[in-house]
Amino acid sequence: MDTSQLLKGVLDLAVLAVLRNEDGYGYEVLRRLRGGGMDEVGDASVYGTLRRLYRAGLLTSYVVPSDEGPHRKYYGVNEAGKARLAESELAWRRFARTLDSLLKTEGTAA
Amino acid sequence: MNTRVGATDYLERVRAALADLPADEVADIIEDVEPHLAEIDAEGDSLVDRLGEPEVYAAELRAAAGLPSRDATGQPQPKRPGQGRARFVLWSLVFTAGMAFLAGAASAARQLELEALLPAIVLAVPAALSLYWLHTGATRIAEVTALREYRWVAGVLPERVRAYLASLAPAWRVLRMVLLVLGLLIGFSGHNALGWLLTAAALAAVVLFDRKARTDRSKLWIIVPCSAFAAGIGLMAVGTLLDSVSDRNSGYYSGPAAGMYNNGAYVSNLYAFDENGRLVDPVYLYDQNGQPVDLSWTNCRGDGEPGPRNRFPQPEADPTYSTCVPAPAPSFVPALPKPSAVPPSVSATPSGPAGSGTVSAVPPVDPSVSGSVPPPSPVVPTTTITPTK
Repeated sequence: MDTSQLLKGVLDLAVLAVLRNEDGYGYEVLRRLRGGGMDEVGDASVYGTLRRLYRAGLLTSYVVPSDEGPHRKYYGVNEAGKARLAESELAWRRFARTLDSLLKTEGTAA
Repeated sequence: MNTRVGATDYLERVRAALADLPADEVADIIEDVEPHLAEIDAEGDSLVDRLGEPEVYAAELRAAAGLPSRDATGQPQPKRPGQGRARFVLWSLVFTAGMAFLAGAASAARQLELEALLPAIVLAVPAALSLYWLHTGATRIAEVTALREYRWVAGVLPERVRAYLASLAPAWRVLRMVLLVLGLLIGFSGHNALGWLLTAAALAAVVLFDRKARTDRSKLWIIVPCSAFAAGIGLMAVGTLLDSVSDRNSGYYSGPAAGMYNNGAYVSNLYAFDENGRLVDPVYLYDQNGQPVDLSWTNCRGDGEPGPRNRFPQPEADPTYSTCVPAPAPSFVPALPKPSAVPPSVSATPSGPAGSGTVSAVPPVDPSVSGSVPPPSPVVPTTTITPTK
């Protein structure tokens, strides 16, 4: 099954999660997501999500000069972002549990 | 696909695919994407293989960023006027609101004659055009609010101030109604056709569109000028009110501030004669408080030495107004009473400046004036002089 539709809904949560402990620039965020198992996430989707979270005031950003190549723009989670992450995490766990039990009951009924 | 697209070309195509977005948004995106492409390029992969066509990449990025997507067909649209038009729409609102404010003030001052109708219509054209564009979707509110100047203004006001201003909105709606009705009455009583017409139009627009404007922000292009018009009426009404209050409290502002009048005519010079009809020159004049008489005749200033202001006759400006020349001899013969009639002697002697306790017989003179001052001689009153200073 194509999981990209599922991914889309939780990409915000995933991006906030991989930035929670350490700031990172776009490609780093992408690598952390892929490294965490989200292979199917599109490059452009991650960059778009970063922009949206930034505009929503959940991320801070700063530019770090790089010796080779263009400057890197780092993103970090600010207080509002941490609050959103905590909130979304709670919602996600509740939702996952609900769906889990739903799948179980339906499975036994069938 | 084997065509190897370099990072620069790829970036340019992404940029082109985002060209309809606000310039600073595009710049922020490019700032992210450029190192991304450089990184993949450095890994030796084909950008197109890894990321897909630049246009697809841009579309995916827009979708994830919550930015408006381009034409659903994916066809590159003709380049939007974008920021230029949005900027026009924003500034037309500012301009029209300013004009409406002035028109409101002029209307309340009954200075809007019907001849101003055409200019008023012409000045409303930018707002009407903006309204049309917003209505047809040629310009979106989001484009306007994405403008740098809008975001700057919105960012300058702290959240608390904005919340406070918003809490005043209901009171302002009531006040606006009162002001517009007041404007109607002023226009009606003053037979001020255009003022009345504009006020009536503003009133109707507010009644019709105010509720809609709360959800459809394009209606602000109607409501804001109407509000500015009402504010103009309010300013003029407050001004008129303050004027009448200060007039009532003291007649100070109604009189002339300086100078001297004789039978309603401005006095530009004074000639003193003794009882034998001889001109007394010079003569130094003081009022009842010992203040030097100053006619405030500004004709002669600057070059030439005009001397003290209370020394008469005062020098006058030469025909070119460049220097001061002695006043010409009076061109009239004073009609003096018969020499036998003894004029009443002046009982009041000019007193020194405030603070000096003694009353001196000789009027104080500016120390810079050389020459002796003649003692005050009896004056033959030929006219009634009213010092107004």
